[in-house]
Amino acid sequence: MENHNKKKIYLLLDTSSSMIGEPIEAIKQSIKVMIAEWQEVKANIEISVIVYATIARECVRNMPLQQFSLPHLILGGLSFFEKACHLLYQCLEKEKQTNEVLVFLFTDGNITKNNIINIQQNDIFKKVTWIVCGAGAEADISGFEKMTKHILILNTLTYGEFQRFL
Amino acid sequence: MEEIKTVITKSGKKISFLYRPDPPRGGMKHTYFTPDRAYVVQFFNHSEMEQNTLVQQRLEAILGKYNPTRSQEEGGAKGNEKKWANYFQKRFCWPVDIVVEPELGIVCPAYPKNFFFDKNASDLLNLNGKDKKSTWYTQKHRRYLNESELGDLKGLLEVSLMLAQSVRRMHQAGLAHSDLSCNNVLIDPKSGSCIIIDIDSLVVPGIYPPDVIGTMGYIAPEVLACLSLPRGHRVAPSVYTDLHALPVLMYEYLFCRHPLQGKKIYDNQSERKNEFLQMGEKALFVEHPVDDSNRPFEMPFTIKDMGQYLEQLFLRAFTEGLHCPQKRPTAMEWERGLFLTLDLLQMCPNAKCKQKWFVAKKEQNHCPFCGVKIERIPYLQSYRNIAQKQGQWTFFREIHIFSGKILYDWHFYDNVYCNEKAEAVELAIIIKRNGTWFLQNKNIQGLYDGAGNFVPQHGFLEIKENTFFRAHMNEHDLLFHVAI
Repeated sequence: MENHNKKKIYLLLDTSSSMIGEPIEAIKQSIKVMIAEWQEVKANIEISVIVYATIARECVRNMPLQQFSLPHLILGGLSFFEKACHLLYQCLEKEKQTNEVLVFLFTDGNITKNNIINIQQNDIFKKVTWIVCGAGAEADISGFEKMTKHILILNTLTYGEFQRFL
Repeated sequence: MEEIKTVITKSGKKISFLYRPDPPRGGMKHTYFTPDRAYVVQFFNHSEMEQNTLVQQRLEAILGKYNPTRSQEEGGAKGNEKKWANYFQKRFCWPVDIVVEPELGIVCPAYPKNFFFDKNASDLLNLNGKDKKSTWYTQKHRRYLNESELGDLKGLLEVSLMLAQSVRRMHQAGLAHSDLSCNNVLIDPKSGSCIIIDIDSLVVPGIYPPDVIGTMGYIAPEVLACLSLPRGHRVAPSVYTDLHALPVLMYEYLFCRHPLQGKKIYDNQSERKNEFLQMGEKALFVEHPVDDSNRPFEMPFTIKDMGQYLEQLFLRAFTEGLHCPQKRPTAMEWERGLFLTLDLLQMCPNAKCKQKWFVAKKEQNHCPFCGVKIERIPYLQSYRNIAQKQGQWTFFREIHIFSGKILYDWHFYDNVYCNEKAEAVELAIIIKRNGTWFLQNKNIQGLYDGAGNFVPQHGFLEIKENTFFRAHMNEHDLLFHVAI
């Protein structure tokens, strides 16, 4: 029996220069695994993707799980996580999202201007569940530990770790 | 005559090795054993390699931040726990130190003993001490091996699962092996294990490029197709090319044939050009569902005999994924499919059946390998609880049984999987006694049958058609239905 409550998922992808090489490859593999896990349980999901570096932009909006594939990513620039959050909040306000939203943040932790405290004070922050996924051999996501208890290290990811968030 | 020489490693250790004038020599390195034969010391064939700082940097990174066989505390990969590091130590021959004096080299563990043939491996040839490369099992020289050495379908599926897990671990870290082939993966079908070697050619995308393009037969079609182009226009080995080599290896293990070598001739004039087209630009799966022009003349069994999970994965890898790398199944998907398939295995009742096992299918009346008639036996259907909907269940998976099958924690929970993070607790065992099937409780605390009777530890629960049972342990436990 399928879960008929449609879940909204946002993927926030750090596409700054420090992600070039094995961090972004790890993210691409992990997202494929994520999709396969959710398809196995026939989850009712729509996925949106926000990529961020020096600027943030929404590159996929409300794509059903069965049709989803990651678009081509262009890497380079600084890592303005705050801009990604502002864009996320704008998207959520526009959608008038009332169901709980899951936000998967894929990053190596290297963010410019560490303003996590400001982000946490935003009302919409309380409506979403953050899952921070550390990518790359040099990933340091200790700065996000106060933001959420859901931390995944992609290096050591095994099957089923995305399924448990549904 | 061997003499003992000494090297100094980056960590300051002095290591002795047995020098001989004609060491085993591969494409990139030559190898010497330490006196206790527990380790090998390897030097690069081309001495200009040691001048290349990129080579040294790559080796340091491979031993350090990319190393899944060392815990984070010991200087290995981030987030790596000791238990997981030990798990992967058995699956990779990962370098343990870098030689700095007298020349650049690496120190690696020697392959475990079960990856060398012993004197009982063959009555026809003396294979004692030779490496167990998969070509011994998959090609014509398999006829020289004794039957006890060949393993069976279960062993080969276990080898494939181990390989998929190892490749998954590399790919999750964003790394690519770049030269997965029969030369770099040693297998032991008897024990269902395999080990990946030649880790020092690991590719880190965008930082440490590949040294080699691969081994013929395993090189991805898109890499082969553009070899004649200038260097800047070629496709380099990557995670996606590994995801071509991985299913080629597994297809060879299971079917003893290459997935792209069939009856089709691509070039009548040149064997070399024919091979380049067959494996490259014009590659066509021998079991393509529509185009049968490349079928081999003999195909005793096919992907349809490997169950729905592997059939779909092989089709994806060798039809839409063959010329479109992004569509290839990931190593994690292979790991998942192989794990599910291992629980679909039934034992063939024919003691002389070479495969000894087959993948159960509906309406199956005979073993697909030896043709012997099979009797229908019960199997388990597990159901998972739908979150937030008390008392509602959804189908999870099938588990087929045989006498002696051990059920672990991953059979009883929907959030536990057979990998480095599992506790691998033996919870129950299936026993057939006087024609009746039973589940004996080894370690389940709250096992109840369909009538609500408690089954204590060491107690027996009859596996009877159309009955239910459940192990009440936590919100992730599964409900079982017995079908036939």
